[in-house]
Amino acid sequence: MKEELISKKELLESTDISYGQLYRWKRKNLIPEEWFIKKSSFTGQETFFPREKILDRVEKIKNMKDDTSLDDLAQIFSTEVSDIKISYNEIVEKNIIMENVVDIYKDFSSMSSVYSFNEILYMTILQEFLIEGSISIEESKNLLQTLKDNYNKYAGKSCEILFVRKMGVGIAIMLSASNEIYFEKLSKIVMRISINEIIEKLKLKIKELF
Amino acid sequence: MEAKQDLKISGAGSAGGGIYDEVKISGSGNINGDLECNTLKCSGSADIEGNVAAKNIKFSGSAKIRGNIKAETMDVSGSVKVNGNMDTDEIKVSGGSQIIGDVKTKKIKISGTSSIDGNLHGEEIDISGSINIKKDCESEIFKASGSMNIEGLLNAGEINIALHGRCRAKEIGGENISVRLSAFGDSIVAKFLKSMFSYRRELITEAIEGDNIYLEGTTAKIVRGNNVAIGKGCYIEIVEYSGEIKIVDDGKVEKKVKI
Repeated sequence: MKEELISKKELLESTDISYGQLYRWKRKNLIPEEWFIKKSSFTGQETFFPREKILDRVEKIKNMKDDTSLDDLAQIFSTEVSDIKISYNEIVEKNIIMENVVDIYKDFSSMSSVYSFNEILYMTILQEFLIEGSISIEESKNLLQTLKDNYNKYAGKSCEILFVRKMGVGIAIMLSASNEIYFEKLSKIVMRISINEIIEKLKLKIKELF
Repeated sequence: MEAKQDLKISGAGSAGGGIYDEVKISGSGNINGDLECNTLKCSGSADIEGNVAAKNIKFSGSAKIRGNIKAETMDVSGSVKVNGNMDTDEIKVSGGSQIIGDVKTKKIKISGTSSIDGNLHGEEIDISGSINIKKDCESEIFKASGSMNIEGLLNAGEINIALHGRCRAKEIGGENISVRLSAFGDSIVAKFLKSMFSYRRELITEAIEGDNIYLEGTTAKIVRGNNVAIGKGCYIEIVEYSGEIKIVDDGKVEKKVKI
């Protein structure tokens, strides 16, 4: 899985932003350090970016920067989890997560009236899986348990969760982002989700609640 | 609330860490743990084994801190070595400081010398002394009139460099970048100095990228920008510009490319 790259020059041309803007966004941590990939060229060094990720990010920043401050945007894009807490009613009313997904989560963990950001994140991931119809409700407990036991170990680093099934038996696996992983022939990757992308989406959704 | 005590070491002495109101070290003092206090004043020689969290810190003697520093203001007129990271609102260095970790601060003013092995993140950086940074330097405003050596990227919104000596940065990026030869250079004293020492005012860098760029005395492989002006004493291999280019006072540009 080799990522396609885009040079800095091409990026600026195709998105119509200036060097100043790019550097400003870098300073504000809107563009993560690890996306700046240095490669040597005839003029010394040239900077490249992962094409899809950077184009998507620049588009988002351009769309939102008029009504959201850069600091708020940084908050949305950071992989850090926020310490927000949201009540059951709010989650359902504000349409953050579908009611029956929250109910599955309620069955799984002990009853509580407010949920932390991490818990809401787990529910959002579960929802993604269930909407795709890739896992059963029974398997979703498995998924939630895997997330709950392991997500904190990644502490802000980007990671992925995938679900593999072999002859009817499902296994949830977590791994740090952009690792290559291969399985034996009979097993099938049912779904693979980047948790960072989910965090970003979720933060956008609950932006008004910050 | 319990009243916090003061700690004073004026001879040779050592103390464990702890929470204090005011800590004063005027002799030679060792603190063998983490220190949390309102004000810390070292005018003697101090060796702190742990982390320091304080509102105001003043070092006028020589001090060594093995841990991290967290403070609102820090004033260095003596010499300080910090092995950890620093997180402050305001730093003033008129003496010497050496920081092994990263520095995060709103304002930093250096009229002495400072060397940072990590990154420097600030909002306002003002250098009239000399600075040495092993990694990147990021700030909204960057002003330098002393000497600087940045081994990573200098990234700032407003960059203003007045060249008095030799300056180096691996790369420079920002919105408005201005590098000027200091006015001092044409005076008699400067001419005298020039004849005495190999006194050169120059900025050496690989690449400069920005929106509005004005350069004097700069040697660079590539300059990319919207509006670029190349002035006195410049030698630039390639200039890529999207708006306008101006070359004044015999600035040398090998190749100009309009994008």
